[in-house]
Amino acid sequence: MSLVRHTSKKIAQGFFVIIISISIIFFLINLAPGDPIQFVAGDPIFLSKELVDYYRKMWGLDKPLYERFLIYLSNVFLRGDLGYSYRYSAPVIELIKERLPVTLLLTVVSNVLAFILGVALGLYASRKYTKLSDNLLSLVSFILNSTPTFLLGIVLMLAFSIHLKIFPVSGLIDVRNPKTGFMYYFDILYHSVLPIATLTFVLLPMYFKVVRDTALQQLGEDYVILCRAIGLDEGRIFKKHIFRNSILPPITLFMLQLGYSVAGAAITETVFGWPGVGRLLLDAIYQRDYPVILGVYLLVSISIVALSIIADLVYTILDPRIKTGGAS
Amino acid sequence: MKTPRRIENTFKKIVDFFNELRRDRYGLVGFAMLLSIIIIALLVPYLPIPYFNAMEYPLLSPPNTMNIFGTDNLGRDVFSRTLWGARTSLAVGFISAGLSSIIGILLGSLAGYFRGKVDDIISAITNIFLTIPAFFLSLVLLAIFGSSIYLIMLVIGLTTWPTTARVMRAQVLSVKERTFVEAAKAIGASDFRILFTHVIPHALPPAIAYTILQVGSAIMIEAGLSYLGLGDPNYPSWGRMIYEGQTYIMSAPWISLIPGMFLVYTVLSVNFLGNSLLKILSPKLKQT
Repeated sequence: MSLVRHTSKKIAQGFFVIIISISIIFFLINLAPGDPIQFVAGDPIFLSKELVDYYRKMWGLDKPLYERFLIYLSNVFLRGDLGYSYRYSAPVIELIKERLPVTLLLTVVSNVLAFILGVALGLYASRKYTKLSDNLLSLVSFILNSTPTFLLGIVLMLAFSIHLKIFPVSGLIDVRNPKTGFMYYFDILYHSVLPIATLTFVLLPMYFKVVRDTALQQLGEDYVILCRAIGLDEGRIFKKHIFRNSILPPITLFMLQLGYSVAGAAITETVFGWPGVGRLLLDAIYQRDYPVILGVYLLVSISIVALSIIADLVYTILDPRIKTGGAS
Repeated sequence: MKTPRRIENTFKKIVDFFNELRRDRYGLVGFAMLLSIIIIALLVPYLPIPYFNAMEYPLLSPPNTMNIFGTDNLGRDVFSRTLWGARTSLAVGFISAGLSSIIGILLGSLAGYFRGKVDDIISAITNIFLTIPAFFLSLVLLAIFGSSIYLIMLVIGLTTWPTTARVMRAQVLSVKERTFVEAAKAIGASDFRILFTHVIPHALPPAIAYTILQVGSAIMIEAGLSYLGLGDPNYPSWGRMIYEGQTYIMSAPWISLIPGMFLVYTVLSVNFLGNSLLKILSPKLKQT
């Protein structure tokens, strides 16, 4: 019962956080110098007054700021309407829907791969603690952690697309290939190897470190000494106990990272010329496409908040030691 | 009477600290690496190298005896631009990390010391900032207010403080319960005095480690912003060089790769150092 109460309190808090964060962005971009009209039609000085007024009215920019804000909030939360893009003259929700699968392909697959590799390598490293292989893995993890996403992407592109010519340089599909059937999906898969590899390597150090640290901490616990004392072999201790105790932190990390994924994928999408949500947001920022900026922001905030609530729930359910989110 | 002992104690602490750092190979290597890049950054104006914006060399020439790292598409010396870039990156890294730590330390300590309403409000603000993807907030701010190096520092500082605030809050919560705080209260010291002369100095060490780590992430954020074309064009920056060089990645990879290597080297040094500081300075991790 208290789990339900705890969760509903979290949801209420989350809703509050979303409202505040969307208002910050709303007022920031609307208070900024520059008129969105000039990004769509050119400098207002050269336009007829009728045209400027027409756009203002169409986009609702003629109303005072607070009124626009209330209209926006009611449209979003009562009608689920994110508004129209200035640039594309299309509903924001459609633009996002169109690009979401690409971003999800990139982020979900990378996170899953990073999770699996991170858990496996983290456990391996903790087993070989202070031996050569542990030191090497930690060093590689450090280096990956210090490499910006775009640099890693460029290096992989240089090595595998330009020198070895194994993978295509950029894009999601090859326009010369068929648009349907097996070949189409194969084409997407072929084009996604490098972007997914890039994001996986960027995420990997986080998972690796969290698993290795947790496992090392577990190895110092009394029950491990007991297990060793009664003669259980090391492999069995790892499989039965260390693994189970070290799997929770990376699961939480997985949830939280998925939430940030849209934001985190933007740079990878830029390097490889992928038409994803991150790219949509970047273009919207450059072109002052306010409804798109707000729409993507809202989507990102909601997914971060929702996934952190789910992470909390999963943690509480999976770990019997925690009674209703004891970790504050 | 009291002051010499205090100085002596502080001195002893610093010596102890370096002794511990010496035992940690990663930390020592990181310290040396960071020192080398700082020395380069300080010496750059006095080195006999061409001005970073001088366009007086053949275009896109590979590394040779005249331009040891080659030249870029405008005939600028990549070696000189890379070394000058160290100044930009380090300045952005240290100043924005400093700003972020000051905000984080102040808000975190206030929340931990006063609890109650103050804590609720500060925690709510921290939560909101954790929810907004900091990188995108920086992007929006820079895109609409125009990018300058100072705005970049400010924006990075204003969006990255929540981690420090959380660490500091937890630290202050535990330091607050110690006897010397109670003693200070008993003799009637004000909250302000207790907080700033007794609680914060004792709660500070882990926050220092996080500040060093923050330097690395600030350098990465600046590079990312520059890569997306939102850096300050007046200062040579590694991120911007990588961005400009990407167009020529097939014919002249050195334009991107050389500043890239310096970037990784610098961030790596900070991460090495920060991580072992974290081990030495935070009491919880020390035991394992």
